This record gives sequence, C-alpha cells and structure tokens, in this order.
Amino acid sequence: MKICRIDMSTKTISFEEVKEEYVGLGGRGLTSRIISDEVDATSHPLGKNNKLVIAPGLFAGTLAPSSGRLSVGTKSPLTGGIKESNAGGTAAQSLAKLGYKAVIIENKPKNQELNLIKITPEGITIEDAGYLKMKGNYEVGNILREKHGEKVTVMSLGQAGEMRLTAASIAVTDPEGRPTRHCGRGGTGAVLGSKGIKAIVIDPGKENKVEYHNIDNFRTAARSFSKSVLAHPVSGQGLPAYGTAVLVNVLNEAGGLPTDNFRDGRFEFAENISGETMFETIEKRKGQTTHACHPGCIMRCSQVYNDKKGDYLTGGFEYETIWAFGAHCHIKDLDSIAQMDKMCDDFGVDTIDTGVAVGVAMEGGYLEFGDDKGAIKLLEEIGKGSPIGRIIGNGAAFTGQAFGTERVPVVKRQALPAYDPRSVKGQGVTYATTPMGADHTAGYAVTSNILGVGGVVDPLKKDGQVELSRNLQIATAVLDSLGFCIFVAFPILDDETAFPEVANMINSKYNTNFDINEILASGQEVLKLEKAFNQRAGITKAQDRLPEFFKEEAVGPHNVTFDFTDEELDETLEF
Amino acid sequence: MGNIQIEVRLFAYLRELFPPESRGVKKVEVKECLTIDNLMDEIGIVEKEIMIVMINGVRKLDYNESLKEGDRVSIFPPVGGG
Repeated sequence: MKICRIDMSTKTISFEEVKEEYVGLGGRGLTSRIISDEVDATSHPLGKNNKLVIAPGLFAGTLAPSSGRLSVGTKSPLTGGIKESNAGGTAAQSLAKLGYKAVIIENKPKNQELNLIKITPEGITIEDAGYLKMKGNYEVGNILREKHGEKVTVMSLGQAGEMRLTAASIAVTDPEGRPTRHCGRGGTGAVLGSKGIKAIVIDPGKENKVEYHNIDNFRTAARSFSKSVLAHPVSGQGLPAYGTAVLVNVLNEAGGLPTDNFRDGRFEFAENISGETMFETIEKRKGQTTHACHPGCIMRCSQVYNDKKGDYLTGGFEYETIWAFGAHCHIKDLDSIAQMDKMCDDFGVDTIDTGVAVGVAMEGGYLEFGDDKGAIKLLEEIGKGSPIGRIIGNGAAFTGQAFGTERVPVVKRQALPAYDPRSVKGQGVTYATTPMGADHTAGYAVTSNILGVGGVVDPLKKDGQVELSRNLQIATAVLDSLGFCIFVAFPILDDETAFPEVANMINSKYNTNFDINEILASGQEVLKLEKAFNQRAGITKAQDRLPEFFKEEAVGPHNVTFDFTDEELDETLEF
Repeated sequence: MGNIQIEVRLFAYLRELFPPESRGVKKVEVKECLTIDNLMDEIGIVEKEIMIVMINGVRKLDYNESLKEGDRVSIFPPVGGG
C-alpha cells in the first residue's frame, strides 16, 4: 500500500510508504487523521493550505460484503470544520486494487484552470481538461469513458464544483458508469474545484494489489458476516426490496417526516412519494427496483427509476432526496422529484442541502410551497451559474441569508436531513453534536428510535438518547474507517456474532490482534481528532446546537419540542 | 359491548393482505376491547413479533393493549434505510 501526493501548483506527483502510525487507519479514520496532521485548522477551505484526501476503507477490494465505500476528507467550506463525506460507487475498490491507501491533493494552480487526474497501473498523470468546462457529470462521464475506456471509474464535478459552491458534491460512478453516487455533504466538490481539478479517472485494468495476511480466515469471517447481513430482516429483505424510500411512510406515521420546512411531522401526500409508490412506478416502467451501487454489495438498496416513456431518468434515488424535494417543499409529484434528483447528480450538488435550500427559498417567499415546476426552474439556474443559481447551490444556510429568513434548519451551516429532531430525538442529538454538521448517518438513532433495531428508545422522550447517539457515533466512525456501508449496522446491532467477525476480518487481513473494545476505541479516537480540529478552527460548543425554533415551536402530531439542555448535549462526545 | 371505528394502515409487503385499490388503508369496525394482537390475527399477519406497530404514531411493544375509537393503527414489516 502506498500514499500518493499530488501538488497542483507544481503539478508534481510523489509516492510515499505508509507511515507506521497510519497502517491501521483507513477511510474516515485516515482522512480525518491526515487533515488533522497536515492542515492548519484556520486555513481558508478554498485556499492553497487546505487539502483533499481520498481514501478507501480498510476492507476496500476485499471479500468483505458491502465494503466499497469511499471517504473524502477536507476542511469544509460549508461548515468551516473537518469533513468526511462518504460515497458508494466503484472508486474505493478501484483505488484499493491499485494499491493506494490514500490520495492527497494539495496546493492549487496559480490561475483558473481545469485538469484531469488519471490513475492507472502505469502511474498517475495530470492532463488538461479545459474541454470539460461547465459540463454536467453525465456528459463528463460519457466523454471520459469514450476517451479512456468504458470500464473506468469517474469521479467528477458538475458546474457547481467548478464554481466552488458550498453545496457542491463529488460524483462517483456506479457499476454502469452513471454519476449517481456522491460525496454529497459539506462542499467537498468546491475544494476539488479550488484545486483546479474537474475529474479523476481511475482504471485498475487487471491490477489487483489487495493482500491478506491469512485469506482463508478472512474468507471464513466474511462468509459468516455476510450471513448475518442477509439474515437480518432489514438488511436482508427490507433494503433489497424497497430501498431507503420505504422510510417515507415509516417516518410519516411516526410523525417525524419534516414537512413545509419543519412546520409539521406529517405530509398529506406522503403516499404519493412513498417507497411503495416508487416500487410500483419502477416496476410498471420496467426500471430496476434493486441495484448494487458497487460490486460486492449484498444489500443492493439502490434502484433505477425510469420516466413515463420507460427511459432512464435517475438512480440512487434515496429517501433523503425524496424528502428534501418532496415533503419539505410540499411537492407531491414523484417524477418531478426524480427529475430534481437527476439535476443535482448532473450539476454536482448535495441533494439534501439543495432540497432544503429550495424549501428555505419557499419560506423566504421566492416561490410557493408545492410549486414543483418552479423548483425545477430554480435548479436549472445552478447549471447556468446565474446569481440565483449560485445562491441555491451554496445550500440552505446561504439561501436563508439571501432571503432574510430565520427558519433555516441547519447545524454548523449544514442542512438537517429527513428526520425531525423533535419527534426523533436521538437524531436531534446527533445533528447537534457530530463534528460534521447536521448529518443523519453520523449516529443513526433512527435504528432504536423508530425501527426497533439495537433495542428500543422512545423517540419522543429524552431518556437514553444521549448515550444512544454517543454509541452510534463511535460505531459509525469505525464502519466509515473500514469502508463498510452504514447499513451493516443493522445486523451488527442485533446479532452479537456479527461484530466479532469484523474483528476477525481485520486481524486476518492485517496480521493484528485487536479485540472489539480496541476497535471501538479507535472510533472514539477519530471523533476526538475531529472535535479537536473543529476547536482549533474556532468551532465551539455554541455551535453544537440546533436552531432555536426547534426548542420553541412544537411539531405535530405529537406536539413536541427539542428539549435537551446545553449541558446534556455537551455530554454526548465527552470522553 | 359496542363497536368502534379504527383505521388500519399496512405498509410494504403487508399491503398484499388488503385489496390493491385500498392502498393498504382501511377504516374498519371492530369490537370494543379488541387488542392489537387480535387485530393482527384477524388481518392475517404472521410473525407478529417482528412487525413495527404504531397507534396514532406511537410505537407499541405490548400487543395486549386494547384499541380505542378513532385509533390510527400503522403496521410495518421490518424495513429501514437512511
């Protein structure tokens, strides 16, 4: 394994052996460590002193199921703190096959320019990519596959990343070459854009440098772990059949589906945008109800959604996206929402921050709640780079300022996702306290709060939520470091044989002797590093809070507020 | 013993237990003091213990609880995501 460093001011590429203290790190554990070690926390996120680190997880390219997630780390131009943004797609496995533990992109060109980084078994080259200027991710992918081969992985920016907007994502292609998987959150696309990079093409060819200390033991543990994943009703049956969109109805029934910019917990048209409706629509139009975002995923929660004519419209059409453009904006037409998902994928913006921004623009009176045609027109402006397009493409916090409204659902300027923090209180604790800014995956308390996975914690009460969020945040830091999809948490929480097999996989691949507690302790270390970086960047406890309207406005149908004291929230990551 | 009106809402594959045009939602008249457990039997739900049951948006773990007039009973198989 090696680490590659790309200096964009001199266009030099160097390779380093992995330092001893980095050997046991991967994914988020490694990106957060390198950013913490090498980036001055007070740097401007778009300046030469910030870096962008791309790292596959410790299990990337192995026989471990659903382990092809990619971590991208940087100082976020959105939150001003450390960021790990995580995506599926084929990049992590391709990098692992080529023997890369991480790629560090540093410095920046003196002038505005666009480059392409090409990573192959022959090495790494930097080429001019001026011909891709202001093109969307779909077109960029088509051009690059024609030039560099049909099988390459493409990581790319749409127009938003080139313009360095704070909701800009980095697209990662799925096995079919579609730019449907994104490092969405926190504006990582803006940082890549600031480095003068439009796209990264990765082609492992026939190369496969993934090694095991003891492959037989690894295989045995991976098989047993796969069995746990497939035996669990959620990861084995629920996710493959319905994907994540099934949560629309679940959260609507629970009164936790934020509607009309967090004014209500139920949406009168939830059924129109539900997973059940999506499933029927996909079947009727001969799309794919089940799809793997990367090879080796056994949960296959993704899908391919066709338009009325039966032609491809979008893929990777997730619950959070459907919620953001749907219930949050009072939009009930699933085809309009699918269209907006595709536009976000193409322009390269985070669907959560952008969808929430559209609702905030509605809040500010720029367009009416429920106006799907107006919302689509508004999104088109991002691709054009017009002033209003730039406002929306900078996300919810910036949009709230532009329209002078105080009801802006963000923490550390990052938009809240699809679970109301008042009626799914464990999620609220995670939104407030994770170093990432409001993020649903950082400590997914929906498990115990709503789904009854990993025990039951009443979503409407405070009891047990801080501890739940803490434990989940630690476990998630571990999973993000291994490169696992967050959904393996379902079997891990309910099947006590699952996590020991994770330890067995680590030990049989890396010739180590970790026990479960040591592995969990590594998750704590990641969080400590991230918190310390944020403190150096000037982010204090005062930012570990939800906007005040969540404390003051009760949400129906349960008529509840977010009622944690500051002291209670501050206990979450005190270790 | 009187009767009460309740609304039953089934989701994901449980909807197959109701006619397709109902989209999983039915208002039904049941006997007063019918429990969640009795209701699930009447609908034909097997593996009751793995289901997620909410009454008026509140998760219920005790299926011996009696239903009341106007209750909204939501039943999900194990599903999830995020």
